Amino acid sequence: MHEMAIAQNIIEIAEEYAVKSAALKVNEIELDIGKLAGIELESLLFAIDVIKEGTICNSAKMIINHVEAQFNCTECLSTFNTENYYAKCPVCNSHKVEIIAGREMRVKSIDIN
Amino acid sequence: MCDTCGCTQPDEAVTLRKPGKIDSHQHISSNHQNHSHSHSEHHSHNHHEHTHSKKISIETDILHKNDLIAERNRGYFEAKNIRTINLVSSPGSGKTSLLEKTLTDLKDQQGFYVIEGDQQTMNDANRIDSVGVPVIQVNTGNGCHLDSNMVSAAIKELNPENNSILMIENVGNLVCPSLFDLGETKRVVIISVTEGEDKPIKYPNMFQSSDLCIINKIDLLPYLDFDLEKMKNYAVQVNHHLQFIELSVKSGEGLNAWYDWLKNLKN
Repeated sequence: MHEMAIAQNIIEIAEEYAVKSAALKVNEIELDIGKLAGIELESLLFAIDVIKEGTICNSAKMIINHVEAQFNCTECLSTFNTENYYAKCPVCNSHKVEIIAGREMRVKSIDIN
Repeated sequence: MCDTCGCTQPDEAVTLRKPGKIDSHQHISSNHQNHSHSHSEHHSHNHHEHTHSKKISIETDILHKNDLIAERNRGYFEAKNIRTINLVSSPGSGKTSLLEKTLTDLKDQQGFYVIEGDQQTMNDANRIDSVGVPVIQVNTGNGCHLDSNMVSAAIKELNPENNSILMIENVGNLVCPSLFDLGETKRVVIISVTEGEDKPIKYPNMFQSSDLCIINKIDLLPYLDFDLEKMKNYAVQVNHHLQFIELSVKSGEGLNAWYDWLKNLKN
């Protein structure tokens, strides 16, 4: 349920930049969301719909780029993609792996008029 | 920073209270801009540059406001050599009992302060207050986690002394608090042996972001099917840096390892 807090932050960031750029309205908000960011996208989009009402982002379309989760094995140094935190290195079977991508939660851009 | 998960809830629903001062609670004001007005006035003249759409690159972390305030908290703690623990777990794992026991045993050797996070009630703060340690209760209303802004407001009220340890008991929830840095020195996740041993892979974000895992209620192990090694293996798969301390608040077994860990904690 933290998606409501996340949504509020997204709309605040979009508004802040829209106002700085003297925008009339925000047409699009583009997000980068990592596959291991811990965000339930359906809940997030629902929350954004609720929060954007009455703001300059009211009619903004959401564009979501899914960032693949990528890990680096600290034993054999290979890099691999996976969908979960408990994956082992496919090369050497070690679980001493560090996440290098996939936790992103970023507002990438807005499209304004 | 929005601290709410209930969409209709105003920020004022988040309150700070000290035990014994129930009537004088304080609302936390957040850094919200007001969403609902202000723009139409700005743009009442329709300039020609507005007629074409324009893409603006932002590249900003969604939680950057929380993270900035968390870093500010962290700087305050470091400057005063206050070591801060963010205690996270599901409801009922024994966070408050562990705190009560720890404070009772160590408060004469070490200064402690406590921030209690719950959606409702003063119950936990009252329990800590009766141990005789300064405590502040943050009630998040419908909110499912503490954030750095609530901690910032709470430490202004608590005014912790140099060289103390600040215990922050987060809202009992294994999901949402994992995303919100509070400025803590270490994050400690508690699991009790009455829970499923696969919790670390079911809720990986929390175990992935924690430094220490306390396994509580081990006095109950003889009566349960809980496989301790299996649970630890799952946790290590998610976070191979994770340390473990097994203890029972009730029997006292293993508490010394936890106390040693606390005493050796550095910013």
